Amino acid sequence: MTIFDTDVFTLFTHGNDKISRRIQGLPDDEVLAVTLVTQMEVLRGRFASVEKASGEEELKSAVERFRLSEQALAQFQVIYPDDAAAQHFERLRTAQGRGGWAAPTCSSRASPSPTTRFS
Amino acid sequence: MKSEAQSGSDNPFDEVLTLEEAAAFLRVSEDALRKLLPEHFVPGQQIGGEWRFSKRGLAEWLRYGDLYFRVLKLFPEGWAFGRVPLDDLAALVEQRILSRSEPAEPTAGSKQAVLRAFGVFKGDPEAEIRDLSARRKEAAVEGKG
Repeated sequence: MTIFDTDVFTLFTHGNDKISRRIQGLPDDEVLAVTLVTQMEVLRGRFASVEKASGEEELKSAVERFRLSEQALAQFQVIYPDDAAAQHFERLRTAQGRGGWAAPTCSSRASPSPTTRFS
Repeated sequence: MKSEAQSGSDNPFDEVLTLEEAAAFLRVSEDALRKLLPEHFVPGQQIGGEWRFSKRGLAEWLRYGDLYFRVLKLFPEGWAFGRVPLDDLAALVEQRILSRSEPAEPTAGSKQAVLRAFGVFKGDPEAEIRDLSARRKEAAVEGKG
């Protein structure tokens, strides 16, 4: 499994050739994934742009970008936090205060362990 | 020796057969074949009171049943099926159906699916990455506060 972080996902959706070449070089049965964190970060940014749109054209463009991001994310397998990740998050949160979503999103039983991290 | 009734074509399946030859070809008695004629659309014609059969027609009837000939009779004589052997026709239909069928949707997470998202946005990604980084910092500050 190869996991894209949010920066790599952004570069990829903007047509970064280096990332495209790396994907092409992966085995055909490789599973490509993003975590819930990336899904949230990307959509949160798009949602903020929709909210901040100051005119008709800007709103249309923001909505279109939101739609394209949703569509692009849907092409990936999404890794959601499992029980172990939730427990780990809670430990970090307790130890470090409110840590936010920088906490790790572990692979669930349903998702095999990542073999590569695109970051 | 070649029968008088034969068409003279090089293709043995284009041969024209008499009732006796048709019965022999189908390995049934002449009487049995005669009984089949009115009800089973055996592909033959009476010419001057004598039955004549296309060997290819009989082979196709044997292979596909009389349904094909029932359908064929619904169309004007010499319609498109005329000279197209059934196997070729079946291959054409198959090709047509395959060309119209949609390829299966690639599974989310497969290379094929993911590559569809490549380059869906134009412009500089750096601005978005900077914006993302700023939002992360904001979230971190809020978290500490």
